[in-house]
Amino acid sequence: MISLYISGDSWMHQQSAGAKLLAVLALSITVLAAQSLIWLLLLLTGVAGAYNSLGPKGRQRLFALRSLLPLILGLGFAQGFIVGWEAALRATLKIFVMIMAADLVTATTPTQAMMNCVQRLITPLCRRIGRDPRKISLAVALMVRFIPVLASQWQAQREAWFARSNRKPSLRLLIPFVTQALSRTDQIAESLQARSRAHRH
Amino acid sequence: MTSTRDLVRIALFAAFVAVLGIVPKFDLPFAAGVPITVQTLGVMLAGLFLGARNGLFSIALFLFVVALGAPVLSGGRGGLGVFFGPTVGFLFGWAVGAWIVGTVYRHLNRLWADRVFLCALLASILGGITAIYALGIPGLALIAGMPIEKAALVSLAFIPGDVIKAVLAAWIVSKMPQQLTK
Repeated sequence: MISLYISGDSWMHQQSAGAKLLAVLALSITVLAAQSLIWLLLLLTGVAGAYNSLGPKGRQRLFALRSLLPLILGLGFAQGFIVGWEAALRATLKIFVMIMAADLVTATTPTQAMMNCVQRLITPLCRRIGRDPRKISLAVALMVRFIPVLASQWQAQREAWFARSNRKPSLRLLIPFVTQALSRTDQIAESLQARSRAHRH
Repeated sequence: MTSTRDLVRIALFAAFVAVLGIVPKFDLPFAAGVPITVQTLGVMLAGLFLGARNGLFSIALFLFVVALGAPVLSGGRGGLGVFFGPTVGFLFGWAVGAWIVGTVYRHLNRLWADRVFLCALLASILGGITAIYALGIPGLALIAGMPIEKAALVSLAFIPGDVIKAVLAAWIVSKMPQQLTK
């Protein structure tokens, strides 16, 4: 599956998913409560340092976050005019620290490890309300599998359109697209059910 | 209980929202210049096709996969970072929005069974626009630390695109063979 995970075995990779999630949560609460600019700058340097410690891939990842700059700086400017520059700077720093820290967890935790961590957390909850926690893994797997299927189905329908017409594909294509996707999922549901019955008997 | 058919449909609409995000130009005419995401079209359709509960599950599944690290939000964003960014309120708004779309549509449909387009349009506007902004704007105000009316003003730029999406969602549902929407 395509993921934002970066493979490696740095010190961050070696921490467990649960520990990292807890750390991000604790950090975010600290950051939201923090008022001092120096403290926020220190935290920002610390998180940037953690990216740096991952090596070139880590620095590349940190640099990739620049796509967020227009949105966050735009908000910062709007805010500077409305509530003053010091508050704007503080809010911008907070957003950066929280996003960078959370993204660091995503970058250093394999999707499967994250999934297992969540599964462990929700299993007792699911038992209590009488649901099967494995259904969540099945739903995730199905969804991830459907993404390329839907993308190629759209592509096929576009090509069929081009075979019939030299105009741009129209939004009309959405109707057969949704219809086909829905009837296909019904077939998938039937075969899943058939297999589960075969399993039981 | 969630049947196998429901489960597969929940996954389908979650994937549909993802596809709307990763296909950069989805052949939709309103992409240029207007800062919108087509993904909320998927949110509206999830509510309309799956109903309140399963629509909510579908968007929750999508958000869960985003949190696991899949780059399926528009612009290839994803991972835990987005849940700490200024748009986090909108993301949770999607889940609540799908639930409201489903609820409103079911009730309106009982009143005017023969006016599918109108029912779907009203449901999409209430759930797919109003509800999403009702959560998104406070979230933006909270994370960016700005007054709520300013956050609302910043968000207004997205409304025209959202109205187009609501019309589109209603039109798709009104053209569907009835047995598929059940």
